[in-house]
Amino acid sequence: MSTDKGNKNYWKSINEYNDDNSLKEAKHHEFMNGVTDEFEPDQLSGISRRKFLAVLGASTAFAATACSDYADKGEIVPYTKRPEEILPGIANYYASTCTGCSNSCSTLVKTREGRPIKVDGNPDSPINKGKLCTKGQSSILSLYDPERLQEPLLKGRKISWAKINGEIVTALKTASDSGKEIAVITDEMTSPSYNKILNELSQKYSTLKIYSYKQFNQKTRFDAWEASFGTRVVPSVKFNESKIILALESDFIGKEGNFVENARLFAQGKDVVANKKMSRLYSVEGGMSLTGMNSDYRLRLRPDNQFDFVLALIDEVSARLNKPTNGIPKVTMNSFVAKNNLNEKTVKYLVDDLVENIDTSIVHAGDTLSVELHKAVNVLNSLLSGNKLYDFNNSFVEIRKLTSLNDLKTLAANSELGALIIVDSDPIYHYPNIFEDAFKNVQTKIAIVNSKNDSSAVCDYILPINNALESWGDHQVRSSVVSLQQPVIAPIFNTRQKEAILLSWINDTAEVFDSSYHAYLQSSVKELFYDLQKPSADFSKYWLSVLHDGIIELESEKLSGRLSQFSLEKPAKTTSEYTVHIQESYFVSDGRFANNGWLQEVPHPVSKVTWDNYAAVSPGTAKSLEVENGDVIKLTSGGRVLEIPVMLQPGLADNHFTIETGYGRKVVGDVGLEVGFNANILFDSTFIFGIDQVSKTGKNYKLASTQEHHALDDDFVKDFHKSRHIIQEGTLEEYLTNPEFLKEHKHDVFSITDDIEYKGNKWAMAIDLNKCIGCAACTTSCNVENNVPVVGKDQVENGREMHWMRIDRYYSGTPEEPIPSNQPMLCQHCDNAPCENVCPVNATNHSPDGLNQMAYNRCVGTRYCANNCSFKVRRFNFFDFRDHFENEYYNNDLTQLVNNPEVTVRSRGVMEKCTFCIQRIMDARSEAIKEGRELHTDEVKTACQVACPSEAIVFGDSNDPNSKVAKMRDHNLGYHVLEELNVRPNVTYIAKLRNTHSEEN
Amino acid sequence: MSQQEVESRKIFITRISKGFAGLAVLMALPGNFIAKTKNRFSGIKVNVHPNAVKRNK
Amino acid sequence: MSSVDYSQEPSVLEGKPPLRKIEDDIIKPLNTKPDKKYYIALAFTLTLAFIGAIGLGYSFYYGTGMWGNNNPVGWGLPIVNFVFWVGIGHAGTLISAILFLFRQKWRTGIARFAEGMTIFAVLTAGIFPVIHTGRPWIAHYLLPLPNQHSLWVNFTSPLLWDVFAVSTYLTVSAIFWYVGLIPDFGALREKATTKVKKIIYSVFSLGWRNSNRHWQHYEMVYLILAGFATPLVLSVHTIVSFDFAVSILPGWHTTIFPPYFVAGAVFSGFAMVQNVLIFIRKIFNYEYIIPIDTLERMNKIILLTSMMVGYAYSMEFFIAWYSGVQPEQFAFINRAFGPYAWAYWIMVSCNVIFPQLFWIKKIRRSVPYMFAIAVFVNVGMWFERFVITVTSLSRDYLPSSWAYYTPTLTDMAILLGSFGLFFTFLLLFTKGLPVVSIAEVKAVADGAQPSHKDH
Repeated sequence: MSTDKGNKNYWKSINEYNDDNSLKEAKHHEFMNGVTDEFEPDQLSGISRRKFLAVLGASTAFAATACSDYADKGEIVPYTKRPEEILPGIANYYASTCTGCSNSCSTLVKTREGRPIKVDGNPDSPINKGKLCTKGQSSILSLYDPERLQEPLLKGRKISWAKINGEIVTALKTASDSGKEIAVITDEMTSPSYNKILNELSQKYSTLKIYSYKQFNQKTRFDAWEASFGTRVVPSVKFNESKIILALESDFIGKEGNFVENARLFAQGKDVVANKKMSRLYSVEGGMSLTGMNSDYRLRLRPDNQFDFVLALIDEVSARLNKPTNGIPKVTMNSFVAKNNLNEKTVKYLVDDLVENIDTSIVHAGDTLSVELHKAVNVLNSLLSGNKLYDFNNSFVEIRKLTSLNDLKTLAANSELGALIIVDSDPIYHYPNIFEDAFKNVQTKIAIVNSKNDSSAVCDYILPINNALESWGDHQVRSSVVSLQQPVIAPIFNTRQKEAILLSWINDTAEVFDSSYHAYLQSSVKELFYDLQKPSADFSKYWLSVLHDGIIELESEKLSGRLSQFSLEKPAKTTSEYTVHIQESYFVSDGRFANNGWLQEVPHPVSKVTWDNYAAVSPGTAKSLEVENGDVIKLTSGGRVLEIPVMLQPGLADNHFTIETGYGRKVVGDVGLEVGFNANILFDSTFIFGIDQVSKTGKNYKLASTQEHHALDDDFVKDFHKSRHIIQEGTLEEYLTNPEFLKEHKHDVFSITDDIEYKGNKWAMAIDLNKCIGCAACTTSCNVENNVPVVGKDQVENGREMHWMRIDRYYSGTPEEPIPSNQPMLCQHCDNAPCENVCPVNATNHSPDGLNQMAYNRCVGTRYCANNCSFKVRRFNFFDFRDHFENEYYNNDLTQLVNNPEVTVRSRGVMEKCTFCIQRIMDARSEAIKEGRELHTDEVKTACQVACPSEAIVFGDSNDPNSKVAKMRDHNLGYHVLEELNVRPNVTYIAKLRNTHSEEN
Repeated sequence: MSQQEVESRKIFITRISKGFAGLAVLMALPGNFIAKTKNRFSGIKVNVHPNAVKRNK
Repeated sequence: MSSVDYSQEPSVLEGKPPLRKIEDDIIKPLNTKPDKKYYIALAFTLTLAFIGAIGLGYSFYYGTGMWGNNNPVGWGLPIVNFVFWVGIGHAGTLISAILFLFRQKWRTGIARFAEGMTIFAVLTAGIFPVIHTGRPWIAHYLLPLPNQHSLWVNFTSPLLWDVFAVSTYLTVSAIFWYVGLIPDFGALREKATTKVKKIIYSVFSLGWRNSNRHWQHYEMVYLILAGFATPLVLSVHTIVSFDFAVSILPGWHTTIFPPYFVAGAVFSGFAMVQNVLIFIRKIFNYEYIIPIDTLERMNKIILLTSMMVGYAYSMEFFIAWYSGVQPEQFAFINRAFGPYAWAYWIMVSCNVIFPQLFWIKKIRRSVPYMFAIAVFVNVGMWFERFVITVTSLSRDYLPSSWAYYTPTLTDMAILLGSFGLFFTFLLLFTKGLPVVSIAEVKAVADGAQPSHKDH
């Protein structure tokens, strides 16, 4: 090739120089000959480089969207159309009523995003005044129980309401027409409107009979009152104005009557900080109850001897007061004391106190004692304060008289029963001896219940009802107050109100509508209360306002009691060597809360046992029977046999067993299955009866308790709570003579480093041990508020319960006459916290407002902080308890709704503890910032403080001189636990003063 | 402009629009996939009751 | 008693072996194929390690709840094992570094081996702080790395000092050990039989030429590293003891812990070294390199530290009584007579009583007896950490939170696994590296050092 411009000619080979033709041809081809012979474009992969990169990018994007880690709990999907009522992030409150027991306390329910997350007492209620018991607090978990009945079932198959209703109405008509009885067994009646519906139903079906029962009730009290005073309206007791209280087998602050109200009144009488005086409580009982734990003097007496005791008291008191009584069998006190080995001095103090404080003494008998005994107590009270301590303004009223056991037995024996309808109750579980196999041949058996139970298991027709939080209702158990119930959430499942179901039968409508009861309720309220009160507003306004308040206050009749003359019959005495007392469980109640994990896990207030019941026995009797904790014994009475483990309980009367029932249900959700022992098997007709035979089975059963059981008189570990000044106590007399007696053995503690100054808010808490009764409402309230998980029995055995707040129970004294002390223990938020120093990753530190903070996402879980905490209040998530408990029972879409969205749900491997409800502090703070003001004095209330029925817990800003807590901190009865460690706790305890006579120190 | 420039612009526009369309499909696909396989709304629907009356604390 | 001639320095090695023989004897195991016994031993240790791995797998998957830890007793077997293994490591450094600075020639036969054990022990120990956390996947929060939380770690926490101390200990020991190995790698390189071995040894020997200059540098670096490592013997276990001593728990909060723990570490370390050494001597026929005299000297140290530990036990009791603080007094009475009394008395008898037999010369020089006593010492020292950790936590200030701790099968599996891991490392070490330091032993053999005496 020649170039155009005469530049140098470049060539690479001779051929090129010679312009070889083959070379020219070769230059036209891009590749040398033969190289591309095997190259077939069609056979190339269809993916170009570009496409490959595109697919690579897409798959990475795919993978990235699929990535998640254990903390990723799903998407948050916002509303596309927000319901008017709901502002995300802002809570709504509704007034309603708790139906956990017949007290029907008025409640205030907090809801977030349309679902309830916390139930507290309604502050507007004159009865419970903003307080709610353990069961009420935890009842919210029943709404979110995954094993709730969701659909109507016919022989186990799902069926629609219309169909099942159609069948039922036909069956009822058949039964009624053929003259066969239709039995309706229902719970104790608290609702006037529901009562009306039942009456209307019995008018429609003439053979319909209503059996309203409750296993533990106040029937004996009402019967005795009627015999003594002629009415069935029983006044409540003014415990706050009583100076001397004698409780005979009466657990009036633990589980009898309206114990929430009683606790408040009792604590008012014990408010030594405000009043510098205290009441004196004598407790005479066979078992160790909550009331017994809080008594100043206690006498152990087997309950079958109580009647004679009352007679002896009447004899003694009437003699001292010179007020003779007629028709009362005579028992002398001296002989009684000698026969029953009672402490003479205590009895003398008792009689002296009763007689010297005649206007302010009250004798209160327990619900499980006989009618005759209650009549005798009425006589005794008439000798003492008469009517002065009875509150007739807030009397107990009966909506419908309870069925007697005899009537239930007649029902069971009725072989010609046409239909059986069980509404919201479990008679087969409560009375197995009466109802076992009773209803085998009944054609139509209908259960109208919330969740499956022993009774619904025999029924073909199962109609699911709304939870209390999804229901309308009205409740009147006191003469002055009607408490209204409204749904705070629309029914989650295909359930209906029980009243609406019955209405549909009355009105012959196939479909069941809750709105029918809503309308009925309105007309009922109008008729029963609006028309009587005649307020100026029209009914619709009235209705809205009473729903808003939750309470209708009524004028009650001014009643007073005049004791009528009667004679008392001595009941037959048991000749057995051993007696048993069947009692209601504090937390599981009569069994209705068996599937509630929180309630099963709250430690028993006296024995600190969880997840089980047991036969409590005194250490002396246990020794003679040669049994130890957990040994299973066999109790036989009248042919009925029960095997149950034993628990040594100091302070029990000898040769006596107390057993709580509500456990051992055969048909219940997974949580309650195989938990405890069914003591109802032993029950015949009275709660207190003799045992024919006690024998050992040789088996041992492990009882899971949150505290170790030491023998009281084990010198090795005796009275540490006293010697370590954990519980500081004194007597009232000591305090009144020398108010500074507590400071006398206080250490002078100093720091070598400078103290940090806290300006602004400094949060602190004060707990008055005189008012704390140990009821554990604070514990459950904290559980609900702070999403504390349920861990299960095996983990509690291992010491891993997760309660942020606990009640420690210590004994001093002797195993026969123990002196119990209760102390709520929670994170003390120490200013010089031992835990903050030692966390290697700085997950726990102190805030400028005095709180010990816990940063969950920083916590690596070395557990050094828990080791260093001298109060052992830190709880470690050894497992993800939501996964671990009962095969993820609570890890489902429904139960997750119970969580409080303002509190983190902790994962596995993270330490947690009380935060002084920092979410409530921050909430109040943001409100204050929004309104441009400072926080008001005592504005922030922690969950435990709100729940405590006796107002023992006070929380606030200790830098604010007007706050309650600042005054308690400086009180001369105030002390800190383990003060000499110089950890500077911010929880002040007010020392417990016992109102005992001074010689007894 | 010349024929070549017009051609090249056409090709450019086609490629860009194809790219955006592909991107849109790519972004919709995973979302669609997840929405179908994962139950976005849990089975529990929570509603307020229309006749209930709320109050302040 | 025969008179000892102090005018002449006794020879460290027995029988005046020629230098060539020493080298050949030490290198021989590295060039021979492992025999059946070796494989059986390795299979056994690997099985133990595997059991531990299964235990760890369960712990990671389900959570720390698989162990026996509960709410007062937050620290159980994992921490006990950690302190145990870190303690064992201290013997090696003491032998390598401190005895070197004290010019104790008899250490040469055992220094390599002991230092290797230190490293393996610290590696085994290092597993525990990571796995015993509740969320091991973020264990890196314990390191002072800059992060988006703007958070440093908490420098006032003893656990953090542990992180620094143990990692420093591991690094310095590893470097010290490696430096000491360099001349031996050189020797191995020359004697390598296969090409692969030659390349590996060449790389690791860092071009060691056996020249005068190299030796000078080597000696200086070795001296400096020995100087670095010496304070570590005292400081590392002091810091581990601070995990306990800095807390406020009765039974933990005592100032005697640092020296007590260090003495205890040396005590248990020497016992473990002695135990393994007896095997090594027998299997490889190194009785002339590691004569009974060396073992006797080690036993003397064991006796000394046993008495220091015994002193610490009694002093704790005395000070607790003298203080008048009830929780403190109770903590110690509880150890001796409470529910864990069985562990306490095992500890006291194994640590204080049995080693007293070493006062008798015959027992000091008898291999079966000293082996048995050293095994007891190891058991006793493990129980000492158990007693300290668990009894103090199980019954502390508030009686309401007392609870009993029982280790679970997973705990035991991990404990066995740690032994398995340690011994696996050891077995691999015996076949991979010279168990005795060739250069150092040759240096103290008779006739190795130039002298002016007999020209």
